[in-house]
Amino acid sequence: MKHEPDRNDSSADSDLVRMQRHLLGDLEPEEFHQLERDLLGSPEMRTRFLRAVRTDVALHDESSQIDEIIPAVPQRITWGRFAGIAASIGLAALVLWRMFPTAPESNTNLPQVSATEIATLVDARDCKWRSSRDVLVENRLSPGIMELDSGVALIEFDGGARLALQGPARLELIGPKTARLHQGNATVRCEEGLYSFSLLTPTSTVIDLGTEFGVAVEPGGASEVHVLDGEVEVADGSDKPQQSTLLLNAGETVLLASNGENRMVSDSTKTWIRDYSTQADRLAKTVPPRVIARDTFPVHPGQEKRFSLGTGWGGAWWQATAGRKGDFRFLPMEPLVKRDAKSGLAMLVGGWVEVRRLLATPIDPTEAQTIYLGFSLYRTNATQRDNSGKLSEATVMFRSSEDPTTVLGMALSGRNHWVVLEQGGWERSEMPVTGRGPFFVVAKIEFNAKRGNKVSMMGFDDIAGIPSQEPESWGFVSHRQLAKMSHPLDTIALQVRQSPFKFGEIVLGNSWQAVINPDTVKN
Amino acid sequence: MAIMEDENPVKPGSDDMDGRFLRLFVRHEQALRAYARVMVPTWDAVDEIIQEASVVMWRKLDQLDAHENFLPWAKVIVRFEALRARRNFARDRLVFSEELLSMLADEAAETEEEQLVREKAVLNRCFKKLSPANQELVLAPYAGCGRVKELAEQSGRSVNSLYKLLGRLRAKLHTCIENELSSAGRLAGQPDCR
Repeated sequence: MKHEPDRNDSSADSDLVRMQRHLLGDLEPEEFHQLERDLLGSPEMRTRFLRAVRTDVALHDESSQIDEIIPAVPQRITWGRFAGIAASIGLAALVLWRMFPTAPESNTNLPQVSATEIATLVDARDCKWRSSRDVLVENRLSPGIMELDSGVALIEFDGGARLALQGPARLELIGPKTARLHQGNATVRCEEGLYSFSLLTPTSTVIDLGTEFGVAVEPGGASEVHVLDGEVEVADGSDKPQQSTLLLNAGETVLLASNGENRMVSDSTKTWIRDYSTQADRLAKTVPPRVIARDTFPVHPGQEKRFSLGTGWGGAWWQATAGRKGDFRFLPMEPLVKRDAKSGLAMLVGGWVEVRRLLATPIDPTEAQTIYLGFSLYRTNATQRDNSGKLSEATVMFRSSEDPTTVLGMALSGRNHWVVLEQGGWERSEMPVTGRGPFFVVAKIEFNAKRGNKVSMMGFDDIAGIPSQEPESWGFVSHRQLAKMSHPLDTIALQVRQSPFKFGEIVLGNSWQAVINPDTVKN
Repeated sequence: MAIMEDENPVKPGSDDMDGRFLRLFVRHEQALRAYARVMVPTWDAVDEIIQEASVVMWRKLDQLDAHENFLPWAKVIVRFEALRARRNFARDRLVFSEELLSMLADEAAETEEEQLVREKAVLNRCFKKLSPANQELVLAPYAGCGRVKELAEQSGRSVNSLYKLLGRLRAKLHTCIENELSSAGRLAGQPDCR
């Protein structure tokens, strides 16, 4: 396989990658001399290069502590590790959880998830399986071979990727982020970004770089890789000492012969399945949009009295101290309870305010269903977040009045990262939200007691920018939330730290449409 | 301003001088290593340059007029040693031309130590956003070239492809640092919205 330079990156990114590869001593002579010419001709590039060097210096320092910082486990955060992390990033909601008398040091409230289950069959369209025993939709899948004679099976890996397998095909499930296609066609979509899924073929490894791609493997081992969206890396899967990689961009196709030779072709001749929807998704589209609950909403961040939240869910639940511009602070309409050893969480004096309201119809988290949540928020003192990043979060949480440890929260951190909170852990988006900071946030919560709940989030700087249809990709998609929730979620809680955030509208609905345009749908 | 005690000059080798040199050198070593890294192609080379330069600094410390001037003075020595060593590296490695190295050295000389500290703090946060596997990979080149090879063997990938991934991961860290710094800078300039 021929070595290819990183020709597909955008120019700026490509410059950065080149600089970093130079610092790693990994540039080919031709690339090196080009970099030298570019640096000579561009002061801006030299400035970036100097920063790249400083990054290298800092990493070099970091490496001296390598034994301390490389975690031996896994990405899920448990209570033991959690205290330090919470302290370091200041997720006060989590600090509050930690104060619960029943703080689960042993994670006893987490379900016993089988370590061998790595994926779920989420949809089956006219599937005929080779084995006599049918694989049913919603079945959890363990590593092993799946042989599909006909039809299309949609498999969702716990690592986040969705793979559409088109029969006849033979697929080996290997891990939450890895599978091997022995024969047949498969398409993979993954929104998780860099290096999030690898599909092995008899001669190569196709590595997802935040993308959608198709792979077809012929009975003799020859294969075709076609990039439908984004970028993939195709690594030589042979045992040759000098392996090489090929980077493919959207629309590009490479044919891989069984002997490892490859050839770029102008277009793919295969038919790729690009429908990753489940039956529940399709059903959801046929169900009329419905607003489950709603509170008043400022239509514009500059609107006067924008933080007066008015009435909702059958009565006033909080209001701002309207009247004095510049001091709109939430005041609950009902007394908030100080946290102590006996009562549940309501308010932590001095730092956080949480206000709650009961939902007229509780959400049953054990029932597979999708709930959309829309909320507007406004960062009232943006400068507060630049010093330490520890000062502010705005969180919307589902809670249960039956059990104070039942929590599923969606937050925007002070540093503009998406955060999904649950009992016993949290996930934060790798990169901050771009733009000036969302004014309106939509979250999609897919409840599924078997697989774990999944939360997708995205934000919009202004109402006009919200698409009328649900977008294909979200700003942030959580991995599975594994905290088992068995108590009804009957409470919506809004939490703000100090006063940097103010909430506006909160809408719960059964669809995108219901949440982004509640005036047009049934309440 | 803490002026060196010219009226009581101390000589290299005296306890007083050694102590003073060590304090200054240790305090600024990080900045000096960062400065040297701009000009030389490997970390081994940085170690060599700093070692050579530190000997020169120790010998010539009595020429330094004030503690505050140690860093710019020491950078001149590091620069000289780096450019001298360039000729040796150029025999068997790809090294930048003297013209480019001089430009980079001029521009890097203006880097404030506070900037290094600030960027390092941001890098720390960005680094923690990487998956544990990617964190390990990013640090692997500093553990000797064998570590990347080991990781390649463990993951069934080629060393070449891991270096490509490394380049992208480091670029990602770089972008993250730039974003965080520019975000902080932008916010610092915004009026209070309350």
